[in-house]
Amino acid sequence: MRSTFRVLAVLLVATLLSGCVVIGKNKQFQPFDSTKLDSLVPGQTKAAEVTEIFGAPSEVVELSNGNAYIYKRTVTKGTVCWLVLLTFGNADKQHDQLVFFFDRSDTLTHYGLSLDADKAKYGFPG
Amino acid sequence: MDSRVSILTAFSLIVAGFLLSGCITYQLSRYVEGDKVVFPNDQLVVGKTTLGEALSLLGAPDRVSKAGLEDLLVYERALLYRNRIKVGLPIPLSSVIRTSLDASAYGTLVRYDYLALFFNSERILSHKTFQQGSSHPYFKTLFSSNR
Repeated sequence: MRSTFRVLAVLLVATLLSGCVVIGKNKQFQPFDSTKLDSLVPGQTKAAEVTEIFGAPSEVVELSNGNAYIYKRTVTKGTVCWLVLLTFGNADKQHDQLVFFFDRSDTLTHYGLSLDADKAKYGFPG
Repeated sequence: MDSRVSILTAFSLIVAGFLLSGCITYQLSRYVEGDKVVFPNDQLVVGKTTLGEALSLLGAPDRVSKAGLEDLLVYERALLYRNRIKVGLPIPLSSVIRTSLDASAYGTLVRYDYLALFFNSERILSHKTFQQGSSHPYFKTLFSSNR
């Protein structure tokens, strides 16, 4: 009799926990190498040299006093868990971004770098 | 006899569990884009801080655009929460009786941490604004009409 209860208890738990977990990763990858930033000199480096080193930018933005070239790569990590009555979903999207600012004569004036793509993580909503 | 009833009850629960799975479902989703936005207010001085100083403090902005005669740099983090509860029959009846019982309700909340920096044509900070949407926790503000 006890064993019957155990089997039923296991079946009941299995029923309630039936479901699945899916994890996924998406990369929009542009292979810019941030270690090459040392070769750039604000006030001297031209936009053409930047594109020669880093390739075509993801986006070019016209500014009040020049342009900005934006290089971006994105990592998204997603987790979905289905149970009988509950579904949890979580997505975390992080970017690596490199922005170059040029004046009207296409000379580099400033640049900024953020490396956050590695911070994307799997998880549950909380 | 009692034990037989208990077994029957447990068996009925299992069968009901199989049949009703999907009948009532609750979904909770969260979507985050971007890293935490920091706001070093003391170090961002209007009329003094240069674009170079801002970039070395905060890194590359998430968005850059031209705003009139100024340039706008935006640092942003978006947090989206979605709740959904659904009540319906797990077995679709539409192919049999051309109807199906199904009701669902959902709520979505998007919060933004948002730092906007305006630079003039000399690339000096002319205006700044910061909003920390994530300071209003989701579950505490879900049913509030004010926030």
